[in-house]
Order: sequence, then structure tokens, then C-alpha cells
Amino acid sequence: MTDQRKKKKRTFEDIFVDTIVYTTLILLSVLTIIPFMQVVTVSMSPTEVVSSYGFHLIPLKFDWDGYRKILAYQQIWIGYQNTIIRVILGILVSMTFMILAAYPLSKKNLVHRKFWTIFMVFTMFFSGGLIPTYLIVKGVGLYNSVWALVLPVAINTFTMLIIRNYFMSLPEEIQESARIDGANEFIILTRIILPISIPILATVGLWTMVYHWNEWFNAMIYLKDSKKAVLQLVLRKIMFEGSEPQAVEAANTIYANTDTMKMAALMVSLIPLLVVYPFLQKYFVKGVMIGSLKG
Amino acid sequence: MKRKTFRHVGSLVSAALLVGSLAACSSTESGKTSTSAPGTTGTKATAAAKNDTPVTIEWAGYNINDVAPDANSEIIQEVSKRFNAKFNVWTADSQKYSEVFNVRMASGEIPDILRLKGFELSKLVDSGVAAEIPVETIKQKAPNYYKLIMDNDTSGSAFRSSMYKGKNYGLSAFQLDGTYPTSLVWRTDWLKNVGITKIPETLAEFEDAIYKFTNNDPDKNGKKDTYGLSSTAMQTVLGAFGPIPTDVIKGTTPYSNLWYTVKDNKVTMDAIQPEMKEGLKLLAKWYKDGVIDPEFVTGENKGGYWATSHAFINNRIGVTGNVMYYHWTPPLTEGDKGGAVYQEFIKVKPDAKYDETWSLGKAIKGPDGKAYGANIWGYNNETLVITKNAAKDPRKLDTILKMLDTLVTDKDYYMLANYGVKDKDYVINADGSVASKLKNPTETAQRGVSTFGMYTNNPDVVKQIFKAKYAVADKVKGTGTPPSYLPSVEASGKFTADLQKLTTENYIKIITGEQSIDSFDEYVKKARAAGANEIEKQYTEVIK
Repeated sequence: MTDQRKKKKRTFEDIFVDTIVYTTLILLSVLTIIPFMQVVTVSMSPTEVVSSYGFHLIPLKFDWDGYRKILAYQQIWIGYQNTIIRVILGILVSMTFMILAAYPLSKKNLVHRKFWTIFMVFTMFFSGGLIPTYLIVKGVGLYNSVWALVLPVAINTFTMLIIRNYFMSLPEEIQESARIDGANEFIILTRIILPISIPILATVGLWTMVYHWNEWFNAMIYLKDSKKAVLQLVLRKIMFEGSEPQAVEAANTIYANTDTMKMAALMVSLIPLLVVYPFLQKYFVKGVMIGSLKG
Repeated sequence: MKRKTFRHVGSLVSAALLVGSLAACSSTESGKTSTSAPGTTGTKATAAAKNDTPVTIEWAGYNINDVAPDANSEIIQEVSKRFNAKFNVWTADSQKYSEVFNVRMASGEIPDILRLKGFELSKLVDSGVAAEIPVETIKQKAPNYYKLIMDNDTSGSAFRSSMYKGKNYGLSAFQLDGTYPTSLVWRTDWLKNVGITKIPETLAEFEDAIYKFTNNDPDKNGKKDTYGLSSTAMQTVLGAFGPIPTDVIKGTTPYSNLWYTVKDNKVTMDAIQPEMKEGLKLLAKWYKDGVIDPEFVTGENKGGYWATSHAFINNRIGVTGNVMYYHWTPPLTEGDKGGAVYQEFIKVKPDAKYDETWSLGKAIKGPDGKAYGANIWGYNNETLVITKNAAKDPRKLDTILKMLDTLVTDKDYYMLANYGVKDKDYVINADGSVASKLKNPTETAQRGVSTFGMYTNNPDVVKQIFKAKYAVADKVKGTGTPPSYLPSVEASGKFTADLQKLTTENYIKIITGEQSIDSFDEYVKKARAAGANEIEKQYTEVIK
């Protein structure tokens, strides 16, 4: 038996396929890692290294000035705080709304189920656009508040449909047995459906988190007060300061952030996601696979 | 991809803005604007009567930042008191403020004074946001400012970028540095090593120097690893033949701006002029001979401050260009850290000394005696637009014009508006130079420093403060192309992106020898058909 398996592994086809698969994967990881290494290295290198030609993959000389300056930059911490608040609010609001929308839609006995589904899918293809959205946000008094970043994007239709599909893939029998025991829909959802849907919820939660962590455009449009600025907006500013000719920098002080500072800022904003990701990884694969089943 | 998306968003926004504000702005308002001039005597009386109530001004006049000034800052308080006004300073990400403002304006909020950069004047006018402000009114209410602009208007371009269909909509700016063309920066130690004692001034001397830079091992390391020039010095080479086509010839996006020349009330696109063929011929020869850094295609700057030439500071090339003198000045006074590029250079080459290691140089003279650096920012290119809200209320307009006039007459006010409070925001050194104490743009904005600068220098004050710098600058001041800042027209918005791409591609292919010199004629034909003709026509019409 073992001999046979060994023999099977050794076929030319297997080796051929394996070689291709591993080469591709290694190449892909290298492609991902090289730019990242460049960022890491530049963030901790002195100027003469940064402004010399070529790749800087492994830091050979160290200079922590970039980090020192960035960590002393108050606006970064304001941004951090606001982003964390935004992410937490965003996940709570989005998950609640998406689950509450997905659950009924997963029920085959929902009246006009098809209509409601299509109605929601419609919004994936057509939206009002920037200005109407802005007017609504302003009109309902969300302008210049964190809610403007959370509420208009509370439901991502595509993500919601993935949750719905996952719910639909769950065996109907469990829910029925609960119903016989006297559980109502709310109890079924919270006590039975949600606990067995952790993979998809973790996945969707991660998506939402990454979205809120990275998004800056709506913060730029809706937030007036710089004390409410999110991290990516601050980061953008650090990256672009001094990157293009400004009409009047003349003879005055020119503010230009060094590349070391910029990359340090990037690292500072990347670290939290790097920390969170591995913990959600195990759910991630499972969740996407199952959630993508059509039902 | 992202850039593209933004462009779409931008055009959508502006389209919506157009529709939205057309509806919002009734015809009576535009009628009022034109009658406001004769009615001033009447309004003056009422203005005097309620003079003690401060006028509120929605301010997007200058230095758009994402941080609002602290309402308690001395600068805001003092300016408010002085002009009996309250200011709501508009804030937005400085790189994207036109997008943010477009959205806000589309929803009906309109500032009183607005920085034009990033907006199309024609759209602002057609949608009723910008209001006419006759030059005559400016002359009357801000006479000193008017005189300053006119006195320094050597190219006849004052108020040009604020003109649309023969009417003026804004306030031109005066920048003293704009009267200084871009400089060349030479490695003087390299020149010495190859036996040249004088900084090259003519094309022949320039050619001699760059060939020696390439072949005679100017850095004395025994390796043939140096070149004469890279992309930025090409500007002055082409300028020696006449026009300068674009700010820098490099293949990486975003593509460089295309430049125009106004001659006898006619606008021509510089990149398609026949003289450029001569210039390109020379560059192609140089490239073939290996004196142009083959990496010029990706530009000299590899990140960091935009004016830094990494090719230059890394001992790759011996001459660079497209920088202002102040990017490269060494520390001249107490507390002066030196120019932004100098600071990078000194970190890579700590023993560098001005004149010994590097030096500024003038634009080089061509065969016909032409020599052009570029006045890249001009002295009246930037425009502040007066909006319908300001034009409606004579008190607002008067206050804005008075603020502008005060800037060029009152030295103390100029210092306050641009540098803040003495000893708190800046210190004056023994030699009279100013050293700022503010650490970063956020702090500057919070203090309200330069919020009310309105883009206009008080040349006397500036020359006095930066005496040492201007002494260096005056020594190397060359000749520059007159600025040709033009109001944007429909055709420029429509065709410019494609023309930029077409121009850059053809220029690079000709220089690198991928295309023959004669393909220049083909390119000109293509460019004309692709919108250059239409842009020239519309520009010419607009400045009539």
C-alpha cells in the first residue's frame, strides 16, 4: 500500500504539476514580500541608504529617526483612535444589519422573497452617486460625525448575500426541531444559526474590518474636523506632503517628510492588521468556501 | 486605476455641480453683480450704520489644509478685529480639496473666496459660483495691490488666468520667487576634475561638460559609472532652442504638464513647435553617445521631496535642473537648515560645500542666444476666485480687497498673516532673517499662519527677510520663459491628458532613438488632430 502510494507520487505528471504549483506560489509570495521588505527596510534606514539606487531588502544600517518622528506626531494617534472607534462601530453596525437582512432572505417561506432579493441586488449595480449621498448624509445630520462613515456603508449587499447563502446551506432540520421546542425566529437566529455560522461571520467581520481600516475617501468628504480624521487620511497626508510642486513654498519653510518617515508611518498603520489576520485565518478559508455555495 | 476613478468622480461632480448651481443661482443674482459698482455709495452708508457687527466671510482663500485654525489663535483674532470680520476657514485634504469643495458646493455651500487651483474657471462661472469682479473695481478698492501686479507684469498675463469670455473673476497673485527662473545645479568638483573652471553658460560649453562628465571619470573612482544629465536638465536644453514644452520629460505617470506660449495675443502649444525638433535632435545624439542617463525615462526623483534628484545626489549625473534656487541653498543664516534638496544632499554627501562641491547655474544659451529656465510658478499664476456670495454683499468684497491691499502696504500685517506672532511662531535673527518655530503643517494651520496670505508677497518685506538667500539667487538669476498661465477651457480639459501621453511617448522615443527625428513631424500632425489645434483656438479666444 505504502509502496503503491510512493510509486503514485513519483509519476512524471505529479512532479510536473507540483513543480508548477510550488513555483507559482513561491513567485507569488516573493512578489508580495519584496515590496513589503522594501517598506520595512526603508522605514528603519538612514537617508544615504534610502536615496541610493536599487532594492533595499534587508536593513544593514539602522536609523530609528523615522519611527521616532512618526510616533511623536500627535495626529497619528488621533487618527488611530478614530479608526479604532470607527472599526468597532462599523463591525457592530454592519454585522447586525447584514445578519438581520440575510436571515429573512434565507427563508424559503418569506413572502416575495425573490422580489426583495432582486431589489437589494439592484443597489449593487445602481447607486445615487456621490452628491445625492452627500446631501442625504448632511440632511439627516450625520455630517462631521463618525456615523457618516458607518451608516451609509452599513450593508454591503454582496457580503450580505454571502451570509444569506451560508444561512441557506444550513440544514433546515435543526431550525425545525428548535421551532418544535418552542423557539421563535429570534431565538433560532441567536442561539442556533449564529453559533454555527462563526466561520462566515469571522470572515465577513474581517472584510468589514479591513474595509473600515483602509477607507479614507468618505472620511475626507464627510469629516470637517481634523480631530475626527481617520488614520488613513493622516497617512495620506504624510505621504503626500512635499511630493509635488506647491506654488508657495518659496523661501518659507518647506515641509517634506522623508521616505523613512513615510514608510515608518505605513508600518505603524499596518501592524494591527498583521496582528489580527493570523487569528482569523483559519475561519477565513472555511468561511469563504462555504459561503460561496449557491443556494 | 485609482487615479482614473477619481478623475471620473471629479467630472461627475463637476457636471452635477453645474446642474445644481444653475438651478440655485437665479438670474437676478447675476444681475445684481453688475449693478453693485454704481450702487456703492448707497451701500456704504448702510455699511457704516451696521459697521459694528462683523461681516462673516467663508474663507477658502489660501493654504487649504485639513486642519482648521484654532479660533483663539492670535492671528485669527487680530485679523478679525482689524477688518471687523469673522472667518469660517474651509478645510480639506490639501491634495484633494477641489473634490471635497465640489461636493460641498454642489450641495449649496459656497465660500466667499476660493482658490482656483484644481477647478475649471469656465465651469465655476457657467454654474454661477464665480462672480465677476471688474479689474476697475480692484484698481479702485485695492490700489496698492493693483499697482504691484501691474508693475511686475512683464508678460502681459496679469489677471489672465482669471479671465473668462472677456470678464475678470478673480485676483491674481504676486510671488517674488516667481520672478526667478529655475536654475541648473552643477557639480563644481566634477567640473574641476575634468578641467573646466567656469560654470557652462552656452550650449557648446554645456555639451563639452556633459561629455567629459561621462567619459573622463569625474568622480575619480576609476569606473565609467557617470552620466552628463538626466531628465530635468533637458528643459533648459530645449529652452535654448526656444520654448520649453513641459516641466519634465519622463515616462512615468502622472504625465507632465504641457506648456503654452502667448505671443501677439495668440496661444501656441510649445511641444509642437518646429524648434523642438532641433532640440530633440541634439538630445537624441547625446543619448546615443551615452551622456544621458538611460534611467531618465523614469525620472530623477525616486520619492521623498519632489525636487530632489536622486541621480544627482548619488553621483550619477553632473548637472540637474528644474529646481528653484531655494531648494539648493546651503544654510545662510542662524537657524536656517538650508533648502529642502540641500538637506537630502548633505546627508548623502556630508562634506559637500557650496561652490566647491556644487553650485547653481543659469539657463544655457542656445545658437540664437536664447536661454530659458522656467518661471515654473510665475508671478501671477495663482488665482483666488470671488464667488457670487461675496459679490452679492459689498461689505464682504470690500473686506477681501482691503485685506489684500493691506498685505502689500502694511509690513506688520504681512508678517502676522504669513509668519504669525513674533517670538511665538517665529524669531528674527540678528541679521534680520526669519526662522519659523512651527514644526509641521498641522501646527502651522492650527495657529492660522499663512491662512490669510492670499498668495501675494510683499516684495519689500520678503527681500528684507531673506536677504542672504536673494543675494545667492540674484547672482545666478538667468532668463526664463514668461509664464503662460491660462484659464482652463473646455478643450484643455478634454484633450490634455491624451496630448500629454502622446507628447511624452514621442519625445522619449525620439530621444532614445526608437523613432527617427523625422517622426517629430508625424507627431505634430497627430497632436494637432488630437486636440492641440482646438486647445490653441479656444485659449486664443479666451484671452482676447
